[in-house]
Amino acid sequence: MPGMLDVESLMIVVVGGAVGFLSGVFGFGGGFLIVPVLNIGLGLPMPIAVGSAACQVLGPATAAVLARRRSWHELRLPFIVFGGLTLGVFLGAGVLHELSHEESATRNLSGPQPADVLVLSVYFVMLLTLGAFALWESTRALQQRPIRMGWIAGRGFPPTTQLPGLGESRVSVPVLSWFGFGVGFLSGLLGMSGGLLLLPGLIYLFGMRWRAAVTASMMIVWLVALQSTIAHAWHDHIRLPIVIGLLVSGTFGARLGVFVSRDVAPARGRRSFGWLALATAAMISVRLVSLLTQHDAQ
Amino acid sequence: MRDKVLFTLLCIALPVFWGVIVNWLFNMWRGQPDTSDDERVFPDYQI
Repeated sequence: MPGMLDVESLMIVVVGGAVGFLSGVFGFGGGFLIVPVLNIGLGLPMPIAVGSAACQVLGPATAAVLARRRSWHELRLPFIVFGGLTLGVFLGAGVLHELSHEESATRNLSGPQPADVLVLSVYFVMLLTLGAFALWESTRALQQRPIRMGWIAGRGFPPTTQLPGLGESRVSVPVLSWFGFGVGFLSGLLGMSGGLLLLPGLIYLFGMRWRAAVTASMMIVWLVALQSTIAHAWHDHIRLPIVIGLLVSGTFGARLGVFVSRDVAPARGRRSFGWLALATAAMISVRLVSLLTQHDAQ
Repeated sequence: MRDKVLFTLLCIALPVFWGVIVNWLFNMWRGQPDTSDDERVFPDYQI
């Protein structure tokens, strides 16, 4: 119905603008809000929400890559994780596709859809963990007691390599590849860019300096977005009107968010991000309980 | 098969084109061709 379509288009623009605004305020990581809001708030099928969100990431990721100067040396990490990323992204998107096929096969049976339950459960665990970590880390930073970084730097199997932003320490190439595989799998399954996991992973697990981690993760995010777009387009999970709505409104929302947050201290910004992640996890938990109890009641 | 390939290419081209335009507009607005990593870069949103 045209009326319904208009309301849905308007809501997508509102969602894109709001998420863009919050992303502008916090600097990174607003993409994690899009899939839960599209699925829970607007009722879009999970594969469509995931595919469209993954495709729209390619826009800001392209702009971010173009906006930074980089040397060839800084492309070493993206090249090392490329194999793991590719495998992970296509596997994650494939798992979602198989689960949504299972939904189609059992459409006559009422009950929670496997794709919805899996994606929302993984989002819940991930946001709960990242939100709690961000609050803990920012509290320590505000108390002038920063936490130790580089938890797994220097551990793992050979061969090892040196990377920009790591000083003299060496990192295991297999560990980096597995890290890339994990980020790729979650990105393919959840429709996010991976930046949410990449930055804390590179900084706290591998001990990379902030600026080098940001530069490397921007390039990796672009690769993830490209691979996710190919995988989800192939499985017909992308709706271009949704992508366009998110891109346009997100750009203006983010500009406004950046303007509003100019004077926010980084530790306070991370604290706000932590609360936002926990609030999103709480919203997802309500939806999950509702999905699972509906099934039990029937 | 051909439709699938074309749709995939369109899904790649559309957001990439948007990203290029946004970056170009941002550079025009700021009046300089590129940025240093010391400052916050506007397009790092929804990532």
